[in-house]
Amino acid sequence: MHYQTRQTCQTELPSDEAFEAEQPGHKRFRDLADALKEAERRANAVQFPQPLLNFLYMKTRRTSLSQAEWERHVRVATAFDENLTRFGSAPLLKQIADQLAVPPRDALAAELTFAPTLALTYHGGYSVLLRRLFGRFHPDGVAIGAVGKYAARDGAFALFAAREALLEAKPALVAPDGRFGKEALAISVLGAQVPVTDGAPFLAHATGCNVVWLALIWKTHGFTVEAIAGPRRDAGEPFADYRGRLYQFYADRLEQAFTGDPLNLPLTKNWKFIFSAMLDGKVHRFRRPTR
Amino acid sequence: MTRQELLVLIQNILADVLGNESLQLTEQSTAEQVPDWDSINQVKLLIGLENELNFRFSAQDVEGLKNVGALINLVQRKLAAKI
Repeated sequence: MHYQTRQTCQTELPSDEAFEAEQPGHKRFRDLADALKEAERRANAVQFPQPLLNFLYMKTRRTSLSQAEWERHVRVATAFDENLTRFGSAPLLKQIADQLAVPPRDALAAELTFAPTLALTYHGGYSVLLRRLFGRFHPDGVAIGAVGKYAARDGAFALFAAREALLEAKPALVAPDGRFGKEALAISVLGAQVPVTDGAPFLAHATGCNVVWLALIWKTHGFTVEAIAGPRRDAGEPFADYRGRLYQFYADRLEQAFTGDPLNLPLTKNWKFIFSAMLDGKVHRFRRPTR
Repeated sequence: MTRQELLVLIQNILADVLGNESLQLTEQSTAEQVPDWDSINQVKLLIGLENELNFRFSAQDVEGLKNVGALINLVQRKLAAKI
């Protein structure tokens, strides 16, 4: 599936310059192949707790890979993700965006990326890059994140802006596994308890919008976007019922992601802590309530 | 509507949202001072005001609201703009 809007894609956005300027003095990658090659070079230096790797390998659906191969792919993915998010450049972002902006093969999935749609993603799998691309393809949409115009720490403003966008038939992007917002319940992902908020279900329930799981997927020579339809609110459906259905869908997608292609499994801090806590018989409670 | 009438309206809507019938607000009240007045309940309060007074806030309108008094100021501006 490819990512495309019905509107003309902008070739450059002001945020690209900000992207370029984020960390002056560091090497910046201008080409995907360079970023991947460097990630492969330093993959062995990317370290994870071995029990965590053992656990995730035990759960993988890619059983054709040996554990050593699988671990190598996870390390490459993690280094690649870091190269793209910390050391990317405007030309690199443009290269990725251009590659995505080809006619969609799956019309239904493409339809779902149009407004009004609440896109759910997660803090793994090239998530920073996904947010940048979302901003590029949907400059009038609302992407709630840890930083930026719609920072999750200013929860009421970010939520209200997302609701406004959805009511005006624009898309919104949110990652319910983030660290801001009051814990409402915990979902189970591969047995780990993950605290989540009422934010995403509230938006979808209040507006009756489409819901889609959105993730950026690396496929040998480039990125594609995985867009999978999620549950919409039924007429008259109580909030608690809808929340349960929405988060079941989200947990299922997360499990698919964590058991899928290890080249799409950059292990971010948040998820390292979540799974490591589970292996220690604990729950990683990371949420910070917002006002 | 007078400021006092708006204060009562905000208090009633928020009391309903929070399920706290004994809620008492002043113009100086902030979300930090009221248990469970979190971001989602703030949005529910704003939606309640929209429905009650028949206007729409924009996201820009509601950015950085400091206290109930600031919300009353905002509502008065929105009501004035309707006339």
